[in-house]
Amino acid sequence: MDMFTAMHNGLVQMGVPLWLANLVPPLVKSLILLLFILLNCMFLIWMERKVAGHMQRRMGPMRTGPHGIIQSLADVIKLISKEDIIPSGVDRWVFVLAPIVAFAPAFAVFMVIPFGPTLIAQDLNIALIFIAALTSFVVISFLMAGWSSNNKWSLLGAMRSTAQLISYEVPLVISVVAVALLAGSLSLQEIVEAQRQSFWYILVQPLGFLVFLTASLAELNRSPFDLSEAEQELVAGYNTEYSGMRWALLYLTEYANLITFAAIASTLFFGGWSGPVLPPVVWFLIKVYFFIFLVMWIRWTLPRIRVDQLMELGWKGLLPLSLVNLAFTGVYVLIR
Amino acid sequence: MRKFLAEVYKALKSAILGLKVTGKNMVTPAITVQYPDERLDLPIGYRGIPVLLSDAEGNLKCVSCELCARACPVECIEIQSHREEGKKIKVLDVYNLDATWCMYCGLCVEACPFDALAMSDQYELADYDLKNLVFDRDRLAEIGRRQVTETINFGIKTGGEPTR
Amino acid sequence: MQEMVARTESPGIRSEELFVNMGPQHPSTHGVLRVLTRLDGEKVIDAQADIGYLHRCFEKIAEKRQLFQVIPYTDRTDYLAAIHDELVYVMAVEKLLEIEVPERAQYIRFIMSELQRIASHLLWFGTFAMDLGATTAFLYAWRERERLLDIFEAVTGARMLYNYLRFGGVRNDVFDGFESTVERYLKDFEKRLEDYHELVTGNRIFEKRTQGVGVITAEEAIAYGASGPVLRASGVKYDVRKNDPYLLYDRYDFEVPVGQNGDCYDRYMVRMQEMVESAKLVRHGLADMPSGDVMGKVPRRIKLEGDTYARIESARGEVACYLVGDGSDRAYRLKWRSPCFVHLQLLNIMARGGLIADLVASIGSIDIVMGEVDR
Repeated sequence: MDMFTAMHNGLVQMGVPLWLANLVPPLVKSLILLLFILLNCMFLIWMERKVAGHMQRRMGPMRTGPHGIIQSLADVIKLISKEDIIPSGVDRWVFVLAPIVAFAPAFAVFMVIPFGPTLIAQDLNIALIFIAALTSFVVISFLMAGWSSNNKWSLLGAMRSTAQLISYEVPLVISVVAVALLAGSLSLQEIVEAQRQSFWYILVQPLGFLVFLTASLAELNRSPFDLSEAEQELVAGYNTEYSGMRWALLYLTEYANLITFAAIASTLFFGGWSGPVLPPVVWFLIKVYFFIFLVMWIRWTLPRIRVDQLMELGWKGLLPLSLVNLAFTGVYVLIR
Repeated sequence: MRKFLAEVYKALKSAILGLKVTGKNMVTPAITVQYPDERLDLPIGYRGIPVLLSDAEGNLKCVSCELCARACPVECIEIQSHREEGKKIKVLDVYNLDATWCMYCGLCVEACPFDALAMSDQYELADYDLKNLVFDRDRLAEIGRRQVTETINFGIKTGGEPTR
Repeated sequence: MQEMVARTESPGIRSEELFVNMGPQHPSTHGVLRVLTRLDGEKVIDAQADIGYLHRCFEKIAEKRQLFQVIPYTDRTDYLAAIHDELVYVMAVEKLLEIEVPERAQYIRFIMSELQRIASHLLWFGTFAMDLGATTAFLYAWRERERLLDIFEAVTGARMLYNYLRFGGVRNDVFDGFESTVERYLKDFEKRLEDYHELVTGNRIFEKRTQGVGVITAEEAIAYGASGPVLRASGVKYDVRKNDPYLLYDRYDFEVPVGQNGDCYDRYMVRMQEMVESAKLVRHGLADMPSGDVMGKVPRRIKLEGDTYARIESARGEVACYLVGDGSDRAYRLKWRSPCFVHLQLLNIMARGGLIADLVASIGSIDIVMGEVDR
């Protein structure tokens, strides 16, 4: 953080008003984060296609750049140059706002994620609550997108994702609470620190991790829980009517959320940036990408679950499991 | 409770089995062919667009008997000819084959008694203009001369195994 | 007829049915099927299939064309199992004209027909898994089918629409090394089948999605005239290959897999087992294939008189052809019985009371080809 403090001090000395000087470092930080997310998302889209391709004994994108590495860039250019279509029956403002509402929280979550011992935009002491609050915000954007599209498939998709996200929020948060109990803190930086001093929490929290993984797959709308955009059932769910850059923003949000969850998973259960020899950032990225690969692997293997079974799994399966896990963790913390 | 745990175990086990299969396939090389760069060999007897064959001197073998046109189920072949004074053989004036109608069934080739018609190995016929898909006599003859793989008249054995 | 669905009504909150057109442009309606669906939330109250988007007047065309010119058209009814439809038409004509088919041609027809069944079921397996969201299984199935199509291509010259059978035999003999190629394929195929079972069949989500979904009872199946895997999954042991043997099916012993519950899972299992049986039959056929001619004696001038009914067991069910001649060289009337059309009528029974996801699974499980439904 020294760089940013120096920047702030320098600006004040140059005679810049204090309020402006206070504003500049956070803006620079968020720009860096935005760039990081966008670049990673583009890479992830390419990676998803490659992983899917090779799992299906195909090559995936091959024709733009070596092994199609700049395929995502080409796609972005295409999407930007596409006509901006707002269908005639839609609720205009809500329709336009929905992708932005979806992207903002996915982006804001990165503020509290530690990339390294000092590499964190803002070390909140209530980081976990902050994350839980922001990620549940996604529901609103999906509902906005589905409702405003004035399309029956979109509406069904929005309803599905609302029910899904709300019910999986509960086991997700409970499984996270168990980790907070172990670390004795809600700050992600301190959770990592606690793991550095003892061990990775996956060792004592295998059940918690399982619940977390399943619930976050559902939160991410990834297969086998991709009900809200189930291609074979709902055409494309809530983003049926979207096209061009608006659609791209919704798509990017999905991948941004994916990075978020991978980052949280590696922070909570796999020691975050801690690791020997290699610099912390590298360790962090390795862990994050391992999770992303795992999620993709699951996506291209499992069939989709049905909507009633989804609810059953959430309330009757994951919730009891996470509560049991929480209880055991509590006992463990007491006798430790 | 026991049922619940059994269910969890079963679900996890089956998922891991599935992951194993996809994982295994991921590390084995792809089986696809990068189409415009590489192509598969066509077997002998492949049915592409019907073409007119020429003899060694480059003259069309067709004698305008119109059997192919009559055999065609979709009537996509149009033939016009005239009889030259003092000669026995008819001269082919127009031979139009509408590739938008043709269903590559090969009945025209089977009907041809003079081996003047063959199913070619041409399958890249895409065009921006429908008019270009009506192949006239000269274009059909041209494609016929380009033919690389051996053409067969049906009723004899096809050769060659599949390449994969 | 319509089931009344209990709704929770509270003052100020009104709920109403949602009418959705599923298709003709929908990713999982297998072509151009349109399902008029009435929904209560996610629940399907009523699902009516609307067909006819692919109608081509096949039966009328068959009256206007010469007999041999109809063969390419029969390919296009069930384009995923074209040999079967060619076979039933060719068999009907041969019956009327009393044409003898040489032994070798019979064997080729037999082997091709069983290979075709494998190809068709493979494609069905892929699309069914795809309907349930397992995309990768879809591409694995296509990989296997592709190799089979290569064999078909080398034999007939085309990948899907073969125009291969002729009255009195087949158009040309198979290529040299046909036996070893097919044998090699079957070996690989059986290995792959284990992968499929690991990837899809045993999967808990798959079981949950298919077991007890889209149930057709044996009575309903018989009443609607279902046949093939759909009928057998309901527990009725009826297979034209056994009950009215044609080609060489009376010479070889094979199992007819039968389900019990008539749900999507049983229909799935029946087809998966049928592929294994087909592979067995192909092996038998390859072992006994005699040498000789592939075309029998066919009269030069064809006079079609009287009427006949030929039926076979296609990949989808009982395909039959009723052919009437009036003494000319063309059919006076041709009637095509397509199993897909029959099975589609069962959609309402299967889908009613289920969820949208079940409707998709049901459509997938009856294995419809719209080309055959509409003809």
